[in-house]
Amino acid sequence: MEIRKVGVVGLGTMGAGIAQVSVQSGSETVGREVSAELGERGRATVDRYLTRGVEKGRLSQGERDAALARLTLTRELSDFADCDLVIEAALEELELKREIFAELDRVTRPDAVLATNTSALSVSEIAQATKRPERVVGMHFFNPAPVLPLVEIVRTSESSDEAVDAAYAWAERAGKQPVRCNDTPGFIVNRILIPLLNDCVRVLDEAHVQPEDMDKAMTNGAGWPMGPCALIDLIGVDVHVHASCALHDKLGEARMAPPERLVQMQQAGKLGRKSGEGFYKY
Amino acid sequence: MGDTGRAVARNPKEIVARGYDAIALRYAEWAGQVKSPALEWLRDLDARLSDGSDVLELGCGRGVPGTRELARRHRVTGVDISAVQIELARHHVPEASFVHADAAELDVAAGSLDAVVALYFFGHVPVDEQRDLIGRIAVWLDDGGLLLATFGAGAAGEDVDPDWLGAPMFFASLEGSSYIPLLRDSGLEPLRDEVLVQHEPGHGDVAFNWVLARA
Repeated sequence: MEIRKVGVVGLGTMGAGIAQVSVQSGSETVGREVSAELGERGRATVDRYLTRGVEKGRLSQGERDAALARLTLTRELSDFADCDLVIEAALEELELKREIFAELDRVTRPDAVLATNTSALSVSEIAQATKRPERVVGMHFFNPAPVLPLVEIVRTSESSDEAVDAAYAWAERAGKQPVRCNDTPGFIVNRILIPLLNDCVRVLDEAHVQPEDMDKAMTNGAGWPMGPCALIDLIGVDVHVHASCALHDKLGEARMAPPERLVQMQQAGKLGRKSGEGFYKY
Repeated sequence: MGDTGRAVARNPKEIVARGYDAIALRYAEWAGQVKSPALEWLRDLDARLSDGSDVLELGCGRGVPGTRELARRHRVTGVDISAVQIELARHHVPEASFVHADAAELDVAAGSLDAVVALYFFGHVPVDEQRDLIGRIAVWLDDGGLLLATFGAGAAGEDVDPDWLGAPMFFASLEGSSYIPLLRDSGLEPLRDEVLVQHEPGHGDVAFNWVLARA
């Protein structure tokens, strides 16, 4: 099936980014937020990034206007009735996502593909809230979604080839670099990156290394585009700790658990760039 | 206030019940974005209770995360005026008991509870019922029993927001400074009380008076 119209549930950081990817791909896009104010805030986020793109010469004013015109706002999931693909980017809470998917199952066309942007929850458990688990996949975008090319297309044991292929093809058409993977904890990137970043943080304390030296070492010695401390500051200490806990709960390996230093930083409100201080001051 | 004003006078509880029925999913998504101190206060309460305590939660909503947190160690009964919220709570927290009822109509034996929890609850109780309900909670609690509650921290009044996440919603509060004396008059001694401001996405900053009190 070809995907022409896309719904996005939640226009927070990830949802607004996904909506931007969608409108720029040429898809008519319905963005759903819980209130008109939050919907407008999401649209303003998309507008800001598109306008910045014009200023930097990445797209024309006409392309920006056309892309923004493809985004309509609603607060009713029932306005997804004629969408071919719905991507859910609500909070990372299993019960909530299951409630949303049960409702999406009721209000969308039976052949619509329902995707979750979860990074840490089981796509299968979310899919089981619907009567069409074969039409449910994961589409895990990376933050910031309009910038980072990767999308993990997550197949559960019940996902149909057609649903997986439709999600993959749409992501590719939207200019992304999709990869296929299965519904295992952390999928591909987080399964590797989370314990790796945790190792880096533990080395800071075990080997008495400063964050600046750690980042210098990993960028110059291992070819990382960004050092691990700077990366955690960018991701957000709270987001990383939450993802670590989720992975540790699922897999139980000690490396998955958040290092004490990160937990203390979170409690002290040192969340990285967004709070003005993490490993570095901003 | 025109039509909405008459609706308040007629039946604020129906507004609350129908409102939370109608906005269940939107409310869940929205509330999850509020940086609420609820879990920290619930954990403080939990730490002061022995295993298997009898806990009554008023305005339990859909049961997550609050009721679920308490139900790990205690016998929890959740009460909510919204049938949809109670249905969700039963689904999400099968280990707790739930009652679809107006808290003002509850029949609870004196001294039968170890704790009462009422978070973001009194803000939906009509002003002329709040004093009586606080008094009744004090009676329900065993000696040494605990109340964890949030109260309004601003001016007294009642209001209906005609479009709160997509449905009319009734709000009420006594004068913020009157709650602590009222609790003491009812035999509830505050152990912790703090006015905390939380940012509510799309609504701005809202202050609540958080109180943990002992009977």
